[in-house]
Amino acid sequence: MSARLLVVEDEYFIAQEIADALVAAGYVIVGPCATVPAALALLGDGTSCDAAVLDASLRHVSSLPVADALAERGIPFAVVTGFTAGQLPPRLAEAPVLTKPVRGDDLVAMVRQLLASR
Amino acid sequence: MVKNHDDSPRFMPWSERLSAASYGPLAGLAGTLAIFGFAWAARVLVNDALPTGFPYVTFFPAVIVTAFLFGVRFGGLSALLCGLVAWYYFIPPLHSFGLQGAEVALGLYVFVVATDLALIHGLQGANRQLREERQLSLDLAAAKDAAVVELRQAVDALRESDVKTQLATQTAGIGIWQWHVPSDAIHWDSTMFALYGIAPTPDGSLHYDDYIASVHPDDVAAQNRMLAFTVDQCSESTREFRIRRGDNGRVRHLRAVEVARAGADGKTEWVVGTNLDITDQKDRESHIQLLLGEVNHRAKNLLAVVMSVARRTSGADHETFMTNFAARIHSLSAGQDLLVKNAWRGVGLEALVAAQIGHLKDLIGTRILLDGDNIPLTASAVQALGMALHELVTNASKYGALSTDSGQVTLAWRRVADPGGERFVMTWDETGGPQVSAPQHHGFGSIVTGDMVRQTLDASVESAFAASGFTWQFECALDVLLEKDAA
Repeated sequence: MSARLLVVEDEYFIAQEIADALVAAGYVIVGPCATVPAALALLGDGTSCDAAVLDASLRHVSSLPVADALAERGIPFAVVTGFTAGQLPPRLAEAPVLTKPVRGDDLVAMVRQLLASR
Repeated sequence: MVKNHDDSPRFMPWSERLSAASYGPLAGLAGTLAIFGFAWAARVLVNDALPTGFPYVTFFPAVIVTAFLFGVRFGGLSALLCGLVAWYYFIPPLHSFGLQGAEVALGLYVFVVATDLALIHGLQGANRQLREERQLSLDLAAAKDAAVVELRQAVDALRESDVKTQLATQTAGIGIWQWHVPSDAIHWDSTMFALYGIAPTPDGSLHYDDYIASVHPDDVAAQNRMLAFTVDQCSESTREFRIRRGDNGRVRHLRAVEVARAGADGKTEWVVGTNLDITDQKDRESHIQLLLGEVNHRAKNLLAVVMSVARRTSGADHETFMTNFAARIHSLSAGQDLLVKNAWRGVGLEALVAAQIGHLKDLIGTRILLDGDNIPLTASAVQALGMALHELVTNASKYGALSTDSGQVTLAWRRVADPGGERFVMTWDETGGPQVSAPQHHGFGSIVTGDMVRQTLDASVESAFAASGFTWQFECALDVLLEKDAA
């Protein structure tokens, strides 16, 4: 059974690009979620996922609460950001970071590592 | 003007004036001989009227006057000549330098003349000294007057420079303060009080604690530490901190520069410094940071959009693809231009609609009817709504109401009150065009007018392909697209 990946990204086209790349690699997409409350609601209602790709900022709000909720559940995640890694808050910078625009191959490789690390 | 302090004879008694006059040696000799001749002639004239025993009667005054006028040396010469003449002509035995009985008279002459000369010599010496001292005191007085004038000029210059400095610093909004550390007395100029919004004290004085009370609580510890360090090391410092103004409680950013000066014991005695309000500068800096962040974010996002557009734009051949692709990029670029023009804040919905209708704007008012008030939009709403409008306009001009000569489009929007928060509703209604039907597959246009705006703006969207014409209804919370920080 293919792994389920949560995509949290507020920019529609970027979310679509990420989802397209992951679907093409054989994964199942959960979401995409565009806001912190939407992502937390999805994690809270028991929807299962094996790893997550998380945008650092959702509509100018830090996605740190989502990162904490993922860490709590032991779900590995990668951070996608338009900023440099140095501009991220520490708990986000600890995760593997991909800078935008994201190349599909890089993303798939990183997701493989995340899933292997579980 | 300095008074003329030369040794003017006007201020001297006549006697001094005469004796003080300097005569050359020839004039002295001539004068001496003249007085001597005069005394001799006078003695001859009065000889018959005098009883015997007054040989020197005219010669004593001659010696005294000569010594007085020409000095003791000529006085001595006069005494010698007068003595010889008196001895020869007027002391018996007459017409001889005989000594019979004349010893006493001659001795008396020598004694009197020597005493006179000694007295005059002493007197003249004292007079000379007096003159010198008077000259000295006149010189001192002149020097003192000059010093007073110089001091007054220096004070005037200082005062003028102070006034200029104060005008300049006041105009530039720079407050100046001094802190006498041993007494903890601080002095502020009027600009300082204005910067802090505090009523000035009569003499501008206040205490360190008064200053610290104005500093923002979060910045107090750092200011105490830095000022203590400056005092301790007798050094200089530059600080930036926030204050709460005394009059309206507003938070302002200040920059302070100060320098410490040591007293005689080597410890800091004075600290002198300036304060400048840099709040506007700080605001500009943070706005620039915000803009840079926004530019970065939007640039990356736009690239992703362009990639997505390229991937999803259809076209039977390369030329058709390029035409469709270029139109979409152009639409993105029009939205971008609006954002840049408005510094990413509050692009009006009317301007956005005008930009997206673009080449069809001649139809506005006849076949394209607009109805709604202007609303400032957020950057993400500008991009999402802009793209959706572009797709609607393109679709209508290719297949819908604007593809014929008579069809009409009505684009209307309004705010709608709602207990859960104000809503925004926008409708696109096509009438009078060809009969339409739902497309066979979802192209890029239907993604943009559907899922894209739905997700980006948390909107509910409905597209309907009625026989009378295509309609599109969009609704979202006003908060999502309303720019509150409109420029």
